[in-house]
Amino acid sequence: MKRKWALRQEISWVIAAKILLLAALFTLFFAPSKRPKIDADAVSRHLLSNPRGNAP
Amino acid sequence: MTGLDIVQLSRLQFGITALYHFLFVPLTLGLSILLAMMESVYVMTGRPIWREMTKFWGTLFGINFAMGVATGVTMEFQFGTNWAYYSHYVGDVFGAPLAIEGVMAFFLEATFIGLFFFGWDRLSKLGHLIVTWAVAIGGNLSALWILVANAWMQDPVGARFNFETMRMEVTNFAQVLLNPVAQAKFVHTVSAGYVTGAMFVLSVSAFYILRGRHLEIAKRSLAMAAAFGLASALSVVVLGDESGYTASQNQKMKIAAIEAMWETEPAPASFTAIGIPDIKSETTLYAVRIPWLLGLIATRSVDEVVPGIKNLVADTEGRIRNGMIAYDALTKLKQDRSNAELRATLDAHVADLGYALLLKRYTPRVTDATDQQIREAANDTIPDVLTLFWSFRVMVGLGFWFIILFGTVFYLNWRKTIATTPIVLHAALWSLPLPWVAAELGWIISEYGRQPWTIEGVLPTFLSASNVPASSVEASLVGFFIFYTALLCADLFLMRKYIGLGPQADPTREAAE
Repeated sequence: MKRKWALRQEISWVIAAKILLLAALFTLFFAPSKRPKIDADAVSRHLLSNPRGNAP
Repeated sequence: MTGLDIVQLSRLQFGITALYHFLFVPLTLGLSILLAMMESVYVMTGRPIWREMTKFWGTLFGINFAMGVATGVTMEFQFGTNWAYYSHYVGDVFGAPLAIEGVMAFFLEATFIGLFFFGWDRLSKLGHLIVTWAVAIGGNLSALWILVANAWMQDPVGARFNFETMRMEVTNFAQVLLNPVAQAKFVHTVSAGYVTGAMFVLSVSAFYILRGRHLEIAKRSLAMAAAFGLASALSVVVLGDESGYTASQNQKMKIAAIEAMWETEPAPASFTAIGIPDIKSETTLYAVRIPWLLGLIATRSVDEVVPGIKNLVADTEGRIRNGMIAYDALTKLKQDRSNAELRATLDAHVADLGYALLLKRYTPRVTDATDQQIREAANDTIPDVLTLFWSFRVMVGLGFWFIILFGTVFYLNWRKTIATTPIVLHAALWSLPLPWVAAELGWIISEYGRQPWTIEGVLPTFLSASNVPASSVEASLVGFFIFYTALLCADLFLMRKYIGLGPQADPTREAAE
């Protein structure tokens, strides 16, 4: 029983640390405010920067 | 700081997180099935030792699950931030299987895992067995959805390009789900997971037998792992052959690069068992070839040709020129959306639109590209031949080693001489990391072999990445490195500790038996 509780405690600590680190990484680098706003016009500008041209 | 551009940094970050995440996945897949099998024996025979075994391996499964859970979430963070163009362009197709996987992994799997650990004294024998099988099936099903999404990146079926929204949209979800690449990938990947689970149980059991500890549990576990591992290792080879066949239908360049096959051979093509590819001279030195084998694997026939890299590059030049027509029509449609003639032109050539996009690396005026630029863009479709050639051979070599090892242990166990054959037990112990090596190499072949595309033939990788500051991706890369290293250390520490402690003796077992 002692071993079972020790394992639960150890796993709980690791999961808590993991959630904190993940939350920190998300907030610092991946929060919605960090994401580029991409819509159809942005993709058009990105892929089709040459509005005039002739196919071979 | 690193000197890498934003595309290289984004690829590096995604590659590292994906490879790290996949350290946990195969053990979860394989060990969950073994747990269900052990508990089935317990329910059928009523012998408490099988319950003790299920609990012990279940503890190690729990550690692996707890460490691994949510390590894949970081990849989903990256889609929106580092791969925003990719997310817009294919999010309509790619998002659905990922969302279903999220529901399966977080709700179905997590719920049953809770019941597995806390339900031993609360559920009936049969009730708990059903829960254990639900954990195993739930885990395997969540892998299915990820592989459906990944297979669509290799073979984008069931979707079409919408020029109004500038994205790929689903036209037939059944085609996406039943994509033959997805089916082949799923069975190959879960079988590799079963090999990993079996090797884990085999190695740890061999360790106990060599030390003379926990012999009753170790011998039973070893026997089960050897039988399950042998069946799984044979399946991996057979199902890997199916993966090779599906790739040869829609990713001919990947197959040619894996083989370092520069020239097209007369059918049926031979398979290069080993050799030293020389990229400069475009030949393979000291090649040992097995006649017919590649032709049979890749085409399932003796008269179909497997094209070489040079032929495929020439074909690609044609597709780029065709794609330029689509690109031109698309560009003009943006100015004149109701022009039916332009729409018809786009529809007729849209399958090659992605090939024209390869030219963006060389010229902003795609439709005015020179022959030289078209040649260079076509050459870009050759993936890294050396990485693919060697990764594939090491992976296949390991696959055959697993068959030999599991087969030998299975045979010696049947002859009841395994405990007195330490050399085989040592081989089993030291083979512990090899299934992970093989599985990671499998992913490297799959994803490196798809380059220069994120979506094969549709969207080049260099156009998929966002224009976020490189310093931001470098900083998050450092963050991920610290996060994953810490987690890996915790995982290894806990695994080592609880394997060292071994199974907990059940005081009621002796009395019951």
